[in-house]
Amino acid sequence: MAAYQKGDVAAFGELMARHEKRLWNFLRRFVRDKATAEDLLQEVFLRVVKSAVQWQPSAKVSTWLFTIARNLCTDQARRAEFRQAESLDQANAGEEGSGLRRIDRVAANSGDAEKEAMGREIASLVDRAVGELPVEQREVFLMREVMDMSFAEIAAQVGASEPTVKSRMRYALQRLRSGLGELHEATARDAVSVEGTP
Amino acid sequence: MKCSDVSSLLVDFLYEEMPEAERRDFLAHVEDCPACSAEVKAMSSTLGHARAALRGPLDEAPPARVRARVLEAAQAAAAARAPDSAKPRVSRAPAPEGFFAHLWKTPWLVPALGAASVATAVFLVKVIKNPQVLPEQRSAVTGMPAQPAAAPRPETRREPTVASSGPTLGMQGLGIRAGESTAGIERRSHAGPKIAREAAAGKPGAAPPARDSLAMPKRLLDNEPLAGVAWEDQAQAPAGEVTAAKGGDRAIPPGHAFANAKAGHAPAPAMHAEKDGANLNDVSRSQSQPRKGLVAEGAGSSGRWAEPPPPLPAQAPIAAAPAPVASVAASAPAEPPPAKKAKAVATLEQRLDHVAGMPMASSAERAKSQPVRAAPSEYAVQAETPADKEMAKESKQALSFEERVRKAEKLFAEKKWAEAAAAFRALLAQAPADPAAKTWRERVASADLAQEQARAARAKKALSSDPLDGM
Repeated sequence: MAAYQKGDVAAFGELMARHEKRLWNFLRRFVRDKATAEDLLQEVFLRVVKSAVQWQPSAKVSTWLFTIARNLCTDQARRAEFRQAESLDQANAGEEGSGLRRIDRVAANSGDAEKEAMGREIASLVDRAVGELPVEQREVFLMREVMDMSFAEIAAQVGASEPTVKSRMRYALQRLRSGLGELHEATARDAVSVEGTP
Repeated sequence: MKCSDVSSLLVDFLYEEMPEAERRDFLAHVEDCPACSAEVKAMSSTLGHARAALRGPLDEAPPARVRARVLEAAQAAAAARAPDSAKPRVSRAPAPEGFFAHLWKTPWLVPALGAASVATAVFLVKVIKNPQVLPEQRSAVTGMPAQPAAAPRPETRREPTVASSGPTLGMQGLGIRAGESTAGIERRSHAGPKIAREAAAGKPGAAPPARDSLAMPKRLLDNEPLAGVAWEDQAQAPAGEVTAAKGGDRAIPPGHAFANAKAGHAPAPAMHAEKDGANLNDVSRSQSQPRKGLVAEGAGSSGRWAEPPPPLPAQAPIAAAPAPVASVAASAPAEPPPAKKAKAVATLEQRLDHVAGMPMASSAERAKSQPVRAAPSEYAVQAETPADKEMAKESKQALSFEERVRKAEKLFAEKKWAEAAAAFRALLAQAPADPAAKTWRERVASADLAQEQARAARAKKALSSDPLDGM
């Protein structure tokens, strides 16, 4: 960042390469919409470009980047709360209309040759379950699991106590468990059927 | 450890942020409690699935176009921050605001302004070195001779002999009559006003353009030794000077004044009028001829350039006036309207008649007390008489009244009701019988009504707003 302050654009490219993937995955999981996540990622770095002159070497770039990203996500979540709920309902309706439950499709693809496809399906379930978490729980979960932040850092970032953050994390895991319940059931069923096979 | 403790410590256990002793207690309880064991296993499995997904299929790279766009913006920003020399030519920095921003947008103005500046500088240098330039140019443009002398500033009234009298009264107002020695500067004849009036009226034979001329003793022009008078500045001394004469009056080079200083002498080439009654047009034309003693072409019958006379012995040099004529001429209007011109003449007559009866100060006192000042323009003279002051005041008041009307209308158009109402009320108070007074009253009523409506709207909004808003 200091090099970019002196006009080294390549240094900024390096900085971007170092942080963009984690930021992207955080944004991607947070807002779920790929186009919106792309806009937000671009906005994060553009804000850094605009404010590069004001950056002090004592400030941690990753923290700065994530603060911008989180603020953008929060604003986006407020704006899109209504639309997001509506789109999720439509997605669920479409799945129901397909005649196959998601877990059935996961089970149908559980053959040896379909492990990769199964992994994608599980990932899709996780993605949906994470996206359905309340914003406060979602941001804590993503900060910990995507951004690799400690609970202390998360607490400082969201302005809450560490026990509160851990409590949010526990609630997030409980919700994820509910969201992935079908997967657990299918896994257990598959295990039973495998055990019963002569 | 209780089951509730397991639930609250579950996150610490899963993320291994639990002290070892507490962890042992935790595991001991979970092994003994099937419910807590199932809970821990389910949560651990959920977290495992989530991590596998987030670090597997869901771990994506951002679109490359994001980086390309951001880097482009970063490069532009860096170029804008860099000093001008380091900026790439392609990425032009934002232009500064104001006058320079305008220059930036219209680059052709830069050479134009530069050329204009150079021309102005050359002109000013020329004027400073040669105060005659201005009257020449003015005469060339207008086809008229340079205007007669304007009366001096009020402070020059204290020095009538310097500023206001003499047959060839100039804007410098410093002149002496023919036959006078330097001492004659103080003993000036009162016949000056008449000649000045003739000059002001542009009569043939009147004094030459007096704005830049000084009366010179005849014997000076006749190359007679003049005690106490000499050209002080050889370089500035004109090579040829106009001497439009009437009744023996001659003009001395413009831009020079007599003084009682002690210095050497210098040649004072002069242009002699061949006969009395030199035409002012001819004079002005002849003034526009080249200097350095060259024979003037088209000088008319009034005179021609004469060879520079021999150096004049002098005990006291002539102090060169610090080019006041040029500075005055630069600010003076080219040609006043006829009415103003006549008024200027009348004003000049009034002043000359006034100063004719005033005691004259010695040149030494003048030199000590006040330097030769540049006289203001003819318009400035007009404003000095009571009538002119009154007229100017009326004009100014009329103008300001119109401006106030415009301002009030503007305020009304901008819906600044309170200010507009006040402005129109002030106009009505000043001019209640004005033809537009009826409109102004309507404006006042409309503005007052609009103010009332605005107040009512604000009150209604304040009452209807939620007191918790903004919390």
